[in-house]
Amino acid sequence: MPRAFSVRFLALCASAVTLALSGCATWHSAGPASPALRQNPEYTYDARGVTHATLTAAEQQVNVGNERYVSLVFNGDYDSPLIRTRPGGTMAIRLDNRMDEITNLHFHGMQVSPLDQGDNIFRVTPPHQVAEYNVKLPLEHSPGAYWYHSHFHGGSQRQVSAGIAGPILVDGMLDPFPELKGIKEQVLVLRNFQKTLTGKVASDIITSAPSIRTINGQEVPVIDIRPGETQLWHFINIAANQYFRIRINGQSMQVLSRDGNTVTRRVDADQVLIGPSARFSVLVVGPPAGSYEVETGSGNTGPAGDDYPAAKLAVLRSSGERVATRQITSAYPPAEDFSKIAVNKTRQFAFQDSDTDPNAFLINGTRFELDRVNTTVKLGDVEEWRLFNPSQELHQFHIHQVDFQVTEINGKPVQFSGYRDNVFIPATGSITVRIPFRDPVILGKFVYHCHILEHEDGGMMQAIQVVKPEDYEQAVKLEPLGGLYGENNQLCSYLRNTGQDTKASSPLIK
Amino acid sequence: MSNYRLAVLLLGSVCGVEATMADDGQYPNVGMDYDATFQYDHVHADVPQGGNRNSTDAYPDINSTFYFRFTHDQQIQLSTEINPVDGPEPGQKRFFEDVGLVINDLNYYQNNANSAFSVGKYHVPFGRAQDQAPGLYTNDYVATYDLDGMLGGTVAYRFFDQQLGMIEPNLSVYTADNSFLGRPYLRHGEKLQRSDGGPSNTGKLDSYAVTVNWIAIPAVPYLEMQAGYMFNKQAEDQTQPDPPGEDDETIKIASARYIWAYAPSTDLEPTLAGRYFDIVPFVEFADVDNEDGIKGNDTRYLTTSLTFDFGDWALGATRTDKHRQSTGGADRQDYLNELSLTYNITGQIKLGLSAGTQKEDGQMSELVGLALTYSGGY
Repeated sequence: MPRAFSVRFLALCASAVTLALSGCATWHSAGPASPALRQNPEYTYDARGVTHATLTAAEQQVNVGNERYVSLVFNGDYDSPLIRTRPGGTMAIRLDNRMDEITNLHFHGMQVSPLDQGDNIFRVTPPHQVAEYNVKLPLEHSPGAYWYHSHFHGGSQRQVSAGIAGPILVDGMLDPFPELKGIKEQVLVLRNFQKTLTGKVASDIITSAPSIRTINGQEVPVIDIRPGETQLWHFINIAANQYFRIRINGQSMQVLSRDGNTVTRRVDADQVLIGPSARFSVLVVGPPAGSYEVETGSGNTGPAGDDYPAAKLAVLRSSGERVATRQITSAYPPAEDFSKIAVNKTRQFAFQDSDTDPNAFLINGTRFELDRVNTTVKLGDVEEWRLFNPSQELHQFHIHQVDFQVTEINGKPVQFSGYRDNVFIPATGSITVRIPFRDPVILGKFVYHCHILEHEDGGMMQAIQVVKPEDYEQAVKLEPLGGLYGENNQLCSYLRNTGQDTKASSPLIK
Repeated sequence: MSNYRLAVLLLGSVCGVEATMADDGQYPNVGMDYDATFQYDHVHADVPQGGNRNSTDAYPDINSTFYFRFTHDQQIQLSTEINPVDGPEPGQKRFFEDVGLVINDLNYYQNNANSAFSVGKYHVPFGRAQDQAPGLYTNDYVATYDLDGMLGGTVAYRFFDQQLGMIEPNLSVYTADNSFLGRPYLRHGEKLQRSDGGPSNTGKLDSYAVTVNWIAIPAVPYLEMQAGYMFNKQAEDQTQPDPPGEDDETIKIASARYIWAYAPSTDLEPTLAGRYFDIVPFVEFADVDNEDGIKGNDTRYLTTSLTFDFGDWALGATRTDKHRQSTGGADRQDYLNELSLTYNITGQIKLGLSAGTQKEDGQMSELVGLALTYSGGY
């Protein structure tokens, strides 16, 4: 047989496989009957305000929606535990890494120390070792929805996608609104798991590939409500890369909090746009008896970006006797509008795709390097950052340790309604944020990056150090060498300067 | 370059990184990206002497890149392509014929914070029309400066300034591949021989290209510019007793691309809902002296295109003019006009349609093509 013929046969087979794969890509299964929404397994705090939790990360077979996959998960469940804490509380977490790869933890959105055993993403836990985290929340910490996840550079996309992530709730969001006291809260953890033919978590995450979208690890669970009943739903997007565009069929929602920050005025929405890592806490009122679909719209992140289909996420089932609707009558808690103050410094950052390497992503032409500090900020300053995106796809800005205010989108002012810790950067557009680096608890080195984790792993991340004013000049000089803070954030002169009593903030330490 | 020297080059690169490898449970590892295209081309040629003027070609174009990663930033990559090695003859009707496998890349690649380099067999980064002009055929039309599968190395460095934006110079040094990597596999075919001569086919690293990319300028962030110079050392054609006059080939290039997006469509909701809209003009000029190493064969390429992106759709119009200066008679003007439409059926499946007219070597033809592409990875 001529060799050319054999190649022709090979090519025909390859085309057939391609068509078969194409078919798989558009095939949707009709799953079993919808289950009731399960509550997340939970760790909560004791009388001293300390939440003790053990997170055991391991590779094992779990249920992902209605299917079985071998994945990387915490505590043997794709639905990771909820960690509940409160302002002034402490999360004492034992990370038991039983995986064959390194990992670590980031406490996303929390205004806590980046040093030592705190929210220190420069620490890593090697395979089959244990790490302890003691994360002390300031008394004035904003209540709301947060999350924890792997922040191991180069591996975070895959680990988060697999299951190395879970929700955190800081109690107290309803305190300013006594009229809402006692309403039912639902934590709705949004995830996306890439389907594979191997039965194992994908080794190469493809955001547009066919996937299973879940809430609390379930496919299309039923969320019960009574007509007229007011519930508080915490949507927490812990997917690695995907946006969720959530709508409750025929219902509007009232946004109470974004990214753990209570809004400063009434915000109503027919749909909520929840970027990767974002959280929305919304008030939902039970509609007339019946079933209502909770769905996420399709996602297209731009000509150079990802494209994924719409999906039905849950069913809202309204039944029973009508109850009185609770509405907000109290004033919203005020917050400082940074657009009205003079900033101390202005910077600009280009979040850009590399035009030569599809797997490389840049901030100001640079890929992340562990031992480099890119930005030094003086404690007490409020800075304005203009983030522009020359790429034809969305990026999602996130900075650790601090919240910020979005003041402009594409150069147009944005009406103030509260703070965020992540925000989209329009494809071929810009966004301007003002960031208060005021709280001494944030002294140290941390990072800002794109929270589409494919991009972060590809290098779209930079290190920032916040230093005391008297150390600023010296720290700027040291920037290229790594700054005042060492690789593990443990070599700096500020290690013990947070004002916290060591024993009180480190309850695991005997 | 001899096989021995090539092997030493690749092995040396691997050994060079071994010391920096760290066992974090993730590396070393392997991976793969692929895209498989089924393409159908129909060409109607206005042949003066008559005869069958319609040729059709249905064929696969399967690109696979295999990675062996030492660390997050260091890897060896092997890219292969399965497709017809040569185009159809006029009037020929083909279905999955003349298909073979070629190796496009086999190199060690390292991407650092501000720099990147690769060494081995690689694609010379020079010119943008082949990637940025929409359509199915323009990349072939500018193949003179789209050099794939050369042996050598390339290094790039990224500078960034708060006023100037990102300036990225790139230097490539290479020679044509006449090693075992340069032959087609799984089909009959000859590899390039040293004796064939031609640009950069000297067996020495004496051809080079320099480009400077200037992008992400804060004042005009959606403007991208490139300028470059390429020098391809001519090797003597030893297969002909009396080869035509030969000289080194040089190419000067400049291009600009601008992305104008309709601002309201770039807000989060319209973007996610597939209503993002932009218009992308692109222009590239290339001045070639002694094209193909033939002395006096001076040409100029001008590619202009306009792309309209709207959600899952992209509509493009491209024209490439090729002007050949004649030493004796009248100058010759060839061109390719192309109108194309691309639709993303899903995030992984794309359908492309293209129709155009072409004049090449004085012959007119009409082209119609369809391409269905599936992309994935492992």
